[in-house]
Amino acid sequence: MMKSLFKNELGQIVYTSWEWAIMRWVFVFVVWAATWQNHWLPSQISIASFETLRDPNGLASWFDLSFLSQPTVTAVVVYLCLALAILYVSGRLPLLATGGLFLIHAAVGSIHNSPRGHHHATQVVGLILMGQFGFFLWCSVRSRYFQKGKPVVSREDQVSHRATGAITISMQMMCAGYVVSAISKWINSGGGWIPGARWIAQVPNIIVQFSKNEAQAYYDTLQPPANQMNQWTIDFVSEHPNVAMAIFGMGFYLELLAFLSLLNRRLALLFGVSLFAMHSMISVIMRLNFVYFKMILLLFFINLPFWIYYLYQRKQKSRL
Amino acid sequence: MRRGLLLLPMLVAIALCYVFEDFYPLSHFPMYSKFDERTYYVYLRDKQGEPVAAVPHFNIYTSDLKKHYGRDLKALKKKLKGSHFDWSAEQKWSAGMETLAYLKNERSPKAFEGEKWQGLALIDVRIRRGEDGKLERSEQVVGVME
Repeated sequence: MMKSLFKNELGQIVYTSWEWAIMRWVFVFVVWAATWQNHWLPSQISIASFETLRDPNGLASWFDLSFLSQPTVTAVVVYLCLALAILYVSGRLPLLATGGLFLIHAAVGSIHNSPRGHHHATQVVGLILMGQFGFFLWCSVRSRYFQKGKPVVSREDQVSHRATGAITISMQMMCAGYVVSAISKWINSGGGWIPGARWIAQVPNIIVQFSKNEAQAYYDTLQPPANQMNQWTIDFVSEHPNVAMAIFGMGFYLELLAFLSLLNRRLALLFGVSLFAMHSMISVIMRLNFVYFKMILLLFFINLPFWIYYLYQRKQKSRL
Repeated sequence: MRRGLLLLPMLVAIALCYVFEDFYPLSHFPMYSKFDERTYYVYLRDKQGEPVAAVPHFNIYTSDLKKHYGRDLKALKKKLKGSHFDWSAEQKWSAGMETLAYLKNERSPKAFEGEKWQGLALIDVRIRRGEDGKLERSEQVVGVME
């Protein structure tokens, strides 16, 4: 059982075209929501410009993107994004679809995520689009320059190869986000030989963060908190600091070792469910929204349609 | 070795994220990467001394207001030495006024039409985890709108 769980199937996992199609269908909504700040109708969308004046983040630090805030330009960009989204879902011209969506997401995101360092909710969506664009760019370059004279593969194999590559690269980008987050924790908390040891030792201090979040949530609207989870957690960490360190330590190593999820589908499911649970727990305690992280985990890692299909196939076989 | 190469995109992405730190969408995701035994937040108070809800009145979360104030405090570090946790309210005053000016001039100019929010104050609250593990809290006025 354990041996099969940790079996290295890197490079051997084959994703089907229907898995990739489902992922495209759902992921395009994630991209839209992340790009347009949860506004669904093109008529509701506007691009803020005032934030770019201070410490712009990304493309806005290289180019003056204030023109994007003009209503006519915004409308053109929104409808262009809609056309690219439809193209993306259709699976046609993936290089153009992913490249265009990435460019729009990066440009608009650089405005909405300015000043630098203020927001970290939608970066993973941009990273995945960047990875998918990079993959299709590589496919295009390879077929043009490196595959001359090689035997022609069937259309079916080509589609499956592209589905496998696009899904794997998306998972790799998500893993990169988790691993770099763990490295930041390791280094910023003081480094040391044992990864995360100092960060875990600092966990009892997290109660000041919980208390700050609760106060900030109160002063946003002057409404008392809807649940008492925050206060319960402060009391729990104060009374049981070692248990808290063990729980947060597991979270740290889940992030640091997230790349193991790439080894096989079973580990992807295990890490997907564990990371989803971790985000859900933090959402409840700290009132932080991890909707994009959770959606990506559900789609690419937990991948329920595949497991339903797998269990159905097994049941069918056992009947025979 | 050949299989390891398959992870190259992830390794490149990790390196880019770490080197660029924050260049959208690249990020080193530094949130909660260390836990000090102290932190701070800000809130708004009217001239009667009552807290003011930031979102309905000024369309801003107090966490965003704190980030602006934090950056203004950071700018003061060039002039003042040490940690802002050790500074007096007078020393932090210019950062507080800068934050209120941002709120009025850039973030929510419409909310300030007329003299409705005259006397609006920015309150700086410091929280510390004491040696007994309990939380201690203190607050200072760091800016008042004229």
